[in-house]
Amino acid sequence: MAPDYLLAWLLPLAAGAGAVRLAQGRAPWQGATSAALGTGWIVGVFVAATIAGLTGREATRDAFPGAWPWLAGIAVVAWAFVAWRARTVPRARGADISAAASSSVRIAWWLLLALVMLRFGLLAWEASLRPVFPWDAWSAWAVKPKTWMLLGHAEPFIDFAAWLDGAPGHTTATWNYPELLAWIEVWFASAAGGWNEPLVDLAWCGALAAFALAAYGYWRGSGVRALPAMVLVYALVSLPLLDAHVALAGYADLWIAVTLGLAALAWSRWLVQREQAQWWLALVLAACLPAIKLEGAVWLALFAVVMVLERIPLRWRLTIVGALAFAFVGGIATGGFSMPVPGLGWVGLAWGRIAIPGMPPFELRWHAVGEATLASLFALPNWHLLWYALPALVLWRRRALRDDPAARMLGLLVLVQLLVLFVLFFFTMAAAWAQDYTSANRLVLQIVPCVFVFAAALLRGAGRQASASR
Amino acid sequence: MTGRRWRVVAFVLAAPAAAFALLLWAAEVRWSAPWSPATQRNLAGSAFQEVFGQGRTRGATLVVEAAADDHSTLQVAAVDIDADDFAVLRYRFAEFPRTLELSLVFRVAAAPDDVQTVSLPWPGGDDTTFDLSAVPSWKGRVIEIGFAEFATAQLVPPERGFAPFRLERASLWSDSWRGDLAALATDWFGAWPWSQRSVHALGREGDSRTRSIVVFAALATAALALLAVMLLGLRGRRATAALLACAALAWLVLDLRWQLGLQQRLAATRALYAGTPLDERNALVGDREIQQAAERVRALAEARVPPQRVLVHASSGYALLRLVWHLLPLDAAAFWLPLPSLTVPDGTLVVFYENDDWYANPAFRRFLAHSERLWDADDAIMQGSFDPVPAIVAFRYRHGP
Repeated sequence: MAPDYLLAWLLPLAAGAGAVRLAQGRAPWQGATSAALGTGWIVGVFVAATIAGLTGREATRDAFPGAWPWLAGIAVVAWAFVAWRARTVPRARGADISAAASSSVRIAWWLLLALVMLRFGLLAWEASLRPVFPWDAWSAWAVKPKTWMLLGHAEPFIDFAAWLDGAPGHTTATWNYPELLAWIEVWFASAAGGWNEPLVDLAWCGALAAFALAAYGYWRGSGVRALPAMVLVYALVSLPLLDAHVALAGYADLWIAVTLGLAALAWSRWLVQREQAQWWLALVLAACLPAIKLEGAVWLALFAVVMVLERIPLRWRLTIVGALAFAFVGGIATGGFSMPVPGLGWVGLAWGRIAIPGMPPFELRWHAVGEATLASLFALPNWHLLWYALPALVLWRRRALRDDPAARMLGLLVLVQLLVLFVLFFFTMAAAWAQDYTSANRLVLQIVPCVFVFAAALLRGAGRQASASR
Repeated sequence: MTGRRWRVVAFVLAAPAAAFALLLWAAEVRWSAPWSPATQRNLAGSAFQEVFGQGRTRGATLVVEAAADDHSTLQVAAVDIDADDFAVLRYRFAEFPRTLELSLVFRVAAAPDDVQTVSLPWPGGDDTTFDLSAVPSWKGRVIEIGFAEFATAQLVPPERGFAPFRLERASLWSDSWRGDLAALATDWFGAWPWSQRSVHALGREGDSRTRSIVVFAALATAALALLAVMLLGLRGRRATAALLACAALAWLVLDLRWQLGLQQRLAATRALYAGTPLDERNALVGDREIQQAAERVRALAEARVPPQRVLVHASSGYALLRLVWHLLPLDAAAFWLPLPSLTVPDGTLVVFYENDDWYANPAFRRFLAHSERLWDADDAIMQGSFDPVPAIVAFRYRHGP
């Protein structure tokens, strides 16, 4: 493998992990390294893509050589700060699955880790063999990076009407899609020495692996014991539709899922440990969502609303929610209103209608797609038993949900995400996506990591309670 | 024996019984059917005749040695059966390549000119059982059955799909528990290739009578946990632990099944790509004919400096968008419909791929009224011959005379 390509993987890890490590506070916590490496790789890749987009427009094949010194610089500075800060704090504990755990627990932990590694091996093997295969990957997401890499420079993409008028630039139906993912592909392609689809697509495997690593670290840090944390990681990585998006790489949904999931992880750390830097990290990660895919703006808006709500003192929360609800109902009753949504522009809301700039208006009326939706979630082999397990877990851990503010807030986040999907599929023309089993599952996929973050919050301390009661 | 031991014995007996009952429910076994099929129609491989491709009989098998010019193969055998009486198909191949897709083809007496097709999972080397009762066209008198093989659609270049294989036997079974359970196993564990649908929803496409393995796993989990509570007397945390253990086991079983599917798909991918150098894999695609068409269009567009812009129209959305994809980094765009108000810069190359709208559609004819018709070095694609539709027809757009 070319050294540049290897560096294209390692430099984002070094730079991102250093930056995230700085955001972890002075005191080491269980799982902090794992969380920093996983989150750091995603953050580092975003930074690499952004630098490549800024410095490599005129010479895309040199995007990697142009950007790597910046990343190396960030890594050196970040780790120098980390090392300087570490002088005064005790070293973190080494082994994760400690000797205190019973041998059966340790065997189960290692067995699950082996299953996870085996899965990633299979997925990486598949992805590294084939060129881009799924429809939107080659018709939408890879059009820009392939064009830019083969041309050698980043020509603008313009709308079809302007293109017909002779304006300079290329056109495609998805000309206005965000470009972060395109620059991620350019970053890896440039390091690989040219437009090499299997090597570009391996980044999807990296994204899921990074999330799994980060999730394990955050969950350990929040008090989930080693075995349940590994069970959660295995359960997540085993989900067939998630795996399919790695094996048949090229869609943006996986990147939305892991970024939203990382934001939820960082936010969960804030909820439990009140580390201010994690709150900001969550916000920064969520702010990347609209740069990945248009609907990322919706997830960002929801995430931001719940984040802000959580910061409002409890005694004011109901008042403010009530006032907002009153304003919302009043606005709708008086003919509708518009509100700014980052990444989407001014979104118009009226009775039976949602208007998003640049898209056909969403007419709201009931669509009977319950059967197809239930089949997607509960019968087709997309999610194993996830959607059976979630309500059972909530029922089982209802006291944790009632007593633990972190679990409550994460539950609220998942609830509003599910509500938005419910409205989208059952009240808008997007019902067709549910009916024909196309995009509906991909939108569900985007929130699945958040569901796991919520599940981990519910499981936090479950074993300890049982032990204590014995 | 103590009461506790009796309860354990009862659980040990009831748990597999409950799981088996659920299996029968999932397979939609007809309770009145016998365990083994009462009647069978058995066809040795040698009973099939090669229609497309080349084959010869060896003993009781048919050895398919070469594909037809279109890279497909077809073997058929005459039968005369009532579809309702024989709804279970069993088939066995040997050395069937991973790169081929298999279909059952059949004709019925009511419409002898119509060939019906049903996609079948990759056969492997064992007997595979497939339930046809949910296939709408499997009804009435069936007069011919056969197997068609072709390179896996959109995944395998047609010329890379075929490798010799043997058709060993096929049979049609009447209703039986054994047939229904074997068909359930195929439905749940059959090897299906990746498809465009795989990133949207997984699971078998097409008509199926059997029930989902996920629903089965969920019900089996609930049933086992319920039996643990009822028969073993588990309560509180122990009951919860039992439920968790059952759910974990069910999840693991589902995941092992998924992992098996991943490995089967990986084997198919390796069969095609493993020997190809990394930097040549971009070019090894399932739509080789569209890729070749793109090269001809590219030659036309790049004949002028700077290369001309290209508008592409094609017979299907897939062909259109793939052609644009293969044309990159040329300045190419999809051309769906010529709206009356549409104007295009003069000199733009307008390309029709496997599509006759350039003369059959009045809107396109008006749009191209003053354009110059082009053809590449291969005159065979033009010459005014409309039948068959030429692969590529190109125009250099001109707005007026």
